[in-house]
Amino acid sequence: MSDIGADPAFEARLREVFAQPPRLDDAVAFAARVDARLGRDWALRRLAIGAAGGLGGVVAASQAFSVDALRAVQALIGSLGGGGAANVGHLSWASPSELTLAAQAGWLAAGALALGATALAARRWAEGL
Amino acid sequence: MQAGSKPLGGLHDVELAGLAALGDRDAFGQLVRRHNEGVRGQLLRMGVDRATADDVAQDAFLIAFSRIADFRGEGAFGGWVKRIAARAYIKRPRRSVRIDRMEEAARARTRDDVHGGESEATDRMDLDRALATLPQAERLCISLCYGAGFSHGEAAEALDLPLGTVKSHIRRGSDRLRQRLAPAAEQGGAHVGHRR
Repeated sequence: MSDIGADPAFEARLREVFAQPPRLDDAVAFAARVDARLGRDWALRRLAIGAAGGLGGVVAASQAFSVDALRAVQALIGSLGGGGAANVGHLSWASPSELTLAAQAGWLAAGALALGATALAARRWAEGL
Repeated sequence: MQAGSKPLGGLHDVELAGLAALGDRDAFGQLVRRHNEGVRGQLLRMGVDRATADDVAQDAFLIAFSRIADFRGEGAFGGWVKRIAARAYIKRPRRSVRIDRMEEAARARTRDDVHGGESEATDRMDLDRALATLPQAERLCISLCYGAGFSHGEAAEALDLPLGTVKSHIRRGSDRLRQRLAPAAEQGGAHVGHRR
């Protein structure tokens, strides 16, 4: 940087003076504003994650509720209980519609969990405010 | 919050940055309290108006927090954030970087914001007044290189100017500053202290 060539002593002094910050009356308030923004960013991130999960859950739940949910639960229970290994083995030969119902029951459970996570995140964000 | 038995105020910047990298916002807050005047001062000396300097400085500290793990203490923390702030300001949309507003704001700031009474303050005031008299391009180059620690090449890249142009601006700008600051030096203003 010192290829200006004229006065190294002046350049050094110039750097020293540049290193001295001005005194600003609101330095403490400024720091508080930065901290507040950091806190808001953290809270928004938590809410966004919860909202994304909740949105997925809402979509899944709405799809699950568009079919006979009771039949879906019954199909899931039927595929897991009853005649032991033979019934479990049967699962692989279950009709496509039964597998779909069982899967939708699973989505229903996942959607409920996601909605719960969203509610918890929203509550914690509100507490943070 | 403390690290071991030392209060945060007694920790070095590198130690605070290490704590901040682990998510300690109080430690980062201590860094902001220490260095925000320097960062905002850098922007003001670049000719930025006060409100914009505050906005850009806030953004710079948030960027610094997100990249705090990158700060390993090779240079000063304040200098690191000044560089982030300077680049953040230069990258702002052109319409918010009006040179005429910058010059007007800089003249107003020189009247209003600077406190005096000590030789250090006198030096700062002299510098701020002298900077306000420079053409904006020279002021920007001088501030980037002497204030934010940019090399000539880095300043040229950041400002999208040829290297020779940046060197010319710095040469002319420093000549003007030397002429303006020389009377203060001859009157005994040569004593320059350091502020942490």
